[in-house]
Amino acid sequence: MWMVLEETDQGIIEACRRGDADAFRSLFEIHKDRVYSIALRYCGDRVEAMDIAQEVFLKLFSAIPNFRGDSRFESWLYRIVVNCCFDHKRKALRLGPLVDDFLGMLRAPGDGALQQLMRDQLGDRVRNAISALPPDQRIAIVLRYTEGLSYDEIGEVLGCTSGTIASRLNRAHKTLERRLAHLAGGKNA
Amino acid sequence: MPEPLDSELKRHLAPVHAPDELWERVCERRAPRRREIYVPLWAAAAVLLSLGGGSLAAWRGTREVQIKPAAEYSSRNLRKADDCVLCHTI
Repeated sequence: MWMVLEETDQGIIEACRRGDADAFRSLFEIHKDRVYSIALRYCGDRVEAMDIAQEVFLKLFSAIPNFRGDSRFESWLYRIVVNCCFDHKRKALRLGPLVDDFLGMLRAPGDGALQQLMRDQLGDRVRNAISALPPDQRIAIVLRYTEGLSYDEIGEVLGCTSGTIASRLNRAHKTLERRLAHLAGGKNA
Repeated sequence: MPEPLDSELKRHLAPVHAPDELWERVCERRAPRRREIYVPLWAAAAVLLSLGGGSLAAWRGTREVQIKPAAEYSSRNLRKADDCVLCHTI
């Protein structure tokens, strides 16, 4: 996956290094969904994810003249995203999602409302279980499930071996199994 | 890893589309605001330092002027043995 993207990105990256504004826009369009998805799945909040994604692109555009191509561009970009996720502090009280959920419940009509509520509750439990994971396990889970990266690719991004990644994912899976026992086939969560 | 949990994780961690306003937010912040903030800060710090240095020099100058005559008077008097009653009567 990375090799194909790398070839298409190469010309754009060169143009960005020369300061071409259109190239910046093209690079943004190629990677915006990926950056935002990782940020959102890591922090679980849309407002925070926007802040993180904004920070990532600002860092990317200011640092791209220094990108020497020693590593893959995608790997370099993922590293910026991961660092921004780790650095981002939770500054504001998370009222936004609560208000959104409440309004969603009010809008949902009839029998569909109950099903929607159950789906939302399930989603909340999964999201809460993920956000309760330690940061190093959580980012490994996000890179694995959101981006579909292999253990080697995650290891390259996080600067550790694939064995370490396997161990982190294993621990994260065990924790999630315990917390979401009703999904894993247990009696209760 | 149980299959239902694996599929739920895939579903809830699936990629999403970035909001359209993300590009606008990136463009807004690309202007070099930091420099605009730091230049007045540096200028203010330099002015404060020069004012502080100047007033310190001025204060030291006036202090020397005040101390000098008094010091000259006491050293002149000490040279005369008659005036220093305490020392020369022991």
